[in-house]
Amino acid sequence: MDRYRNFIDRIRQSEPTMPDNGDITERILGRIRLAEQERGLPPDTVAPQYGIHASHTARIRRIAAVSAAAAAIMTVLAVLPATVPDRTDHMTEISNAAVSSNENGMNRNNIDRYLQLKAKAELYPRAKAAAIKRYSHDNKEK
Amino acid sequence: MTGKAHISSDTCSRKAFEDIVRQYRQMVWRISLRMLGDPDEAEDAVQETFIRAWKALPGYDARYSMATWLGAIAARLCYDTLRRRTLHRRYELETSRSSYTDREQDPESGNIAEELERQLQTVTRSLSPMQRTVFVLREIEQLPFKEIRQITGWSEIQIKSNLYMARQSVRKAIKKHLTE
Repeated sequence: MDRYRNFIDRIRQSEPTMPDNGDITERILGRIRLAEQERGLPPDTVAPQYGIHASHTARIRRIAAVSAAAAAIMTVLAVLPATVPDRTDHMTEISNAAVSSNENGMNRNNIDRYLQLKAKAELYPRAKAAAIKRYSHDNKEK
Repeated sequence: MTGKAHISSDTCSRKAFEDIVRQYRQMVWRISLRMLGDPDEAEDAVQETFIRAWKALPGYDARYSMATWLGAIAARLCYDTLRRRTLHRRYELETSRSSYTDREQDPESGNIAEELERQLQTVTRSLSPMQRTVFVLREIEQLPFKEIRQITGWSEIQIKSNLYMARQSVRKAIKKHLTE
């Protein structure tokens, strides 16, 4: 058998003994008792659940994670407008818009249109009367 | 039923836990010692392992054996200690003044097991924390790969490649440091 295997086999078979054998159990239980007292638990109580959600460190980590996420969102929101291109070039500034220089002119145009329509409307009864007259004259001739 | 059997509140009581400590402390000590190489640090790791186990006991999954569960806690704890050591560059200093090395000069420490542990520390000194963890769990504790994967969270490829490198390193160290 090679030296390596021989050495490993000897190590496997050996049983190192712990010094102060009886003492260590007492020390461990003493520390547990101390932890119980610090937490105000009655002696010989059932060990409390120390899940990840219950641990102090986990709570601190959760708070840190939420704060970091909030900070990241705020940063993104702050940076976003600067990165978006300016899309106002197609808009017209209202102060530069063309404004009619003569407001009265507009009113005059409207009046003129009204008068023309009125004149046409007055022509209509006369044209009608003439048409009737001519129609009746034609009938008489027949 | 979720299949996750929670341990009864009776088992969670301190008296029942005392029995668990008595039954498994040697096993936890062995893993801790072989990973850390220092009896004092191993004793601290044993205490810490059982305190963590007590805290997590209500969530213990009865599908796994108590030995596997405690071994996993101890191995993770020791791996973290090894990594911290590497980060602080104290590893060489720590191993060079390990208690087992000190005991070599003690005339009463003629124990074969202690001598073997001292030799193990010598030949595994150059291993990285990952290699050391895999080496102890697979080569010495003989845990199956599946269990090592569950304990460490590493992939099988990572475990096998680290084990291969650890074996090569230990073979070289045995040739160099240990006499026939």
